[in-house]
Amino acid sequence: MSEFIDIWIVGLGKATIIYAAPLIFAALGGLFSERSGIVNIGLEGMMTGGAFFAIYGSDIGGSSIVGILFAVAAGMALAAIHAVATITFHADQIISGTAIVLIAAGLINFLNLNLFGPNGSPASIAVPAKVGGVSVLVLLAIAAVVVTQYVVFRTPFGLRLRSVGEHPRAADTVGISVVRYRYVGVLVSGALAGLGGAFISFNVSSYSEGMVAGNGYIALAALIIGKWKPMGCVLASLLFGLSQGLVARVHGVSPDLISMLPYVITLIVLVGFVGKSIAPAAAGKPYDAH
Amino acid sequence: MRRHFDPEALLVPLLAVLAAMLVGALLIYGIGYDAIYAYTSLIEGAVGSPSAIGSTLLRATPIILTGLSVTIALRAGLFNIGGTGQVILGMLLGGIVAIHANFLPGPSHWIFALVAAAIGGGIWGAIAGFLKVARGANEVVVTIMLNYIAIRLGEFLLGGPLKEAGSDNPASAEFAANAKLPILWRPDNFTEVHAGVLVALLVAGATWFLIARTSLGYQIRAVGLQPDAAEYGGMSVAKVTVIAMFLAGAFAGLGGAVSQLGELERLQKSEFGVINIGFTGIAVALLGRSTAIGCVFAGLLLGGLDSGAVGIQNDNALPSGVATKLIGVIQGVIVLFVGADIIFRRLSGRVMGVFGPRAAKEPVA
Repeated sequence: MSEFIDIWIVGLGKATIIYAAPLIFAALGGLFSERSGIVNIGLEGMMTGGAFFAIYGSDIGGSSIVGILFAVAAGMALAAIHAVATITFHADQIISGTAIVLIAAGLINFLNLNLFGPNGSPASIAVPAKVGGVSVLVLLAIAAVVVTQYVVFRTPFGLRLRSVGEHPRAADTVGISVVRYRYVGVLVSGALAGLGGAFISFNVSSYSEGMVAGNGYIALAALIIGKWKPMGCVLASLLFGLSQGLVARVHGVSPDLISMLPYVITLIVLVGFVGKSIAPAAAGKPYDAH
Repeated sequence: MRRHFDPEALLVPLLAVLAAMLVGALLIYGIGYDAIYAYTSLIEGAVGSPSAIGSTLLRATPIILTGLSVTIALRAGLFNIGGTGQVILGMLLGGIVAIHANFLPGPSHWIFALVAAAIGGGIWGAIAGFLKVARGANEVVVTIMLNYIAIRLGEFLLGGPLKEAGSDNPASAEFAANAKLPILWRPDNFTEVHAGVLVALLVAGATWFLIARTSLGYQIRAVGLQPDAAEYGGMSVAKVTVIAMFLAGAFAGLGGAVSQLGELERLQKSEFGVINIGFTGIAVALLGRSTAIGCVFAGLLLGGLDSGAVGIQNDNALPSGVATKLIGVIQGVIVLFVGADIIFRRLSGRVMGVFGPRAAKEPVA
């Protein structure tokens, strides 16, 4: 009986949280960006940036705080490219997002090879403390959910952010700077995705190529299933985390089939069988005031 | 549509490539290496010898096909980011036929294997088209999900049902000899240029013909430009969308199968998670300005960069493993600049005025 509790309650619960936390960060990031009207499929790349720079910052700064700051900065730097391309130069948001993924994958691993060498990061990296095997960064994820909920839905700033994502022309007419709010949305998005990446690499105290492994896209899925709402993102992320946690624990069913679940669930939601999920009206469309 | 010569069609991709190479050079200098030497090695690795040219052709072949896949979808107004999944379905179905359909005589075996690959990829693409028209599901997100489902499906099949009997390796049995693509040219003992090159050129030609000279191509273009008008004009946007996504998937499926049946012996579980020709296809299509002929040149260029990375590696012009990452950055920057081509228009409008009145033609919300 105690073995059952260890594996199925404690173990599965822990695994679910460890898998879900990065998704929560990145999905909230996607929420800020898409609520402002900019689709961000570059989350995957921004998470990769965060994952590497968390470890690099901890290494050169000797403290995980430095690592966290580096991760946030890396995510924001990649997000800034996306923002300039899509907001200032009206690039197609999907194309720009694809470019961010390609650039991040190349650039980050280029830096990894040159800064850490072929053997990767040193073994003794300072990482945030763990309680019961789970990083205290989880608290930051919870805080991010509460703050996002409050800022986006309870403040004038949030109202304006959402207004430029729903009807930029109307927002512009009443004097809200569409460009400025979209820049903020995308940059915050990068910061949160960077934190998501940091969680992944801090969890194993090192960076390795390909470690983000599609989490940015699952976060995008969590955003859609969560209907662009913070609590929805959390629940979807937990669901995906749970399905990942089950992979290692269910025997008799192929782990490959179980890890297919998040994507299948997302498809089912997308086709509208679990209630329609409707994106912010202006997401994906460039805005030109002239 | 484009009857007269349009300088912008050539200039934007050219400037994008130049800008990307410049970014690459800065990175090379940034780590204390010589960019001129590295780029010389790159060019030699791409076109400096018969072996280099053979290697460039081999690398260009699958990405020309995935580029055509993205192109045909873009022409219908759809963004096919699902190349990876369609490539995998092509590999799986083509692979199954190549392993098991031994009753097929002579060259018909590899031909049928390719047909199966096209159908497999095509169905995977058509699913996204169908979900879009039937349920309004965004094809970008759907194809991303289908990519990961395909990766897991491939890994599942190679871990069990498709695994070679009696083997411990997560790999299939060998492809039948007849299912291998014929070798056209052997510049050296390690480089075998196979018939996949011709398949890519054939599909490019067919794509050009389809888009420019057929009723279906006209409908695809009409739906891509103005779906409401196309519907009003009596076309079925739903039908055209599904067909375009089927074709897109079929081309990507072929892209997966040609390299596999031309260069590999069997299906391996480990290969599905690292497929990148689907994403490279996006770069090819954008660089090729969504034209069939453009995809051929863009594919050759990006294939050359890929092959050139090996040249850099062989000359030790950059630390081990760095060249492929550098090429990745260059590809990404190319996509970024082609996507944000207004940068060039604004710059040229101010500096040179090359694009003339077109500079005013920026998209308006």
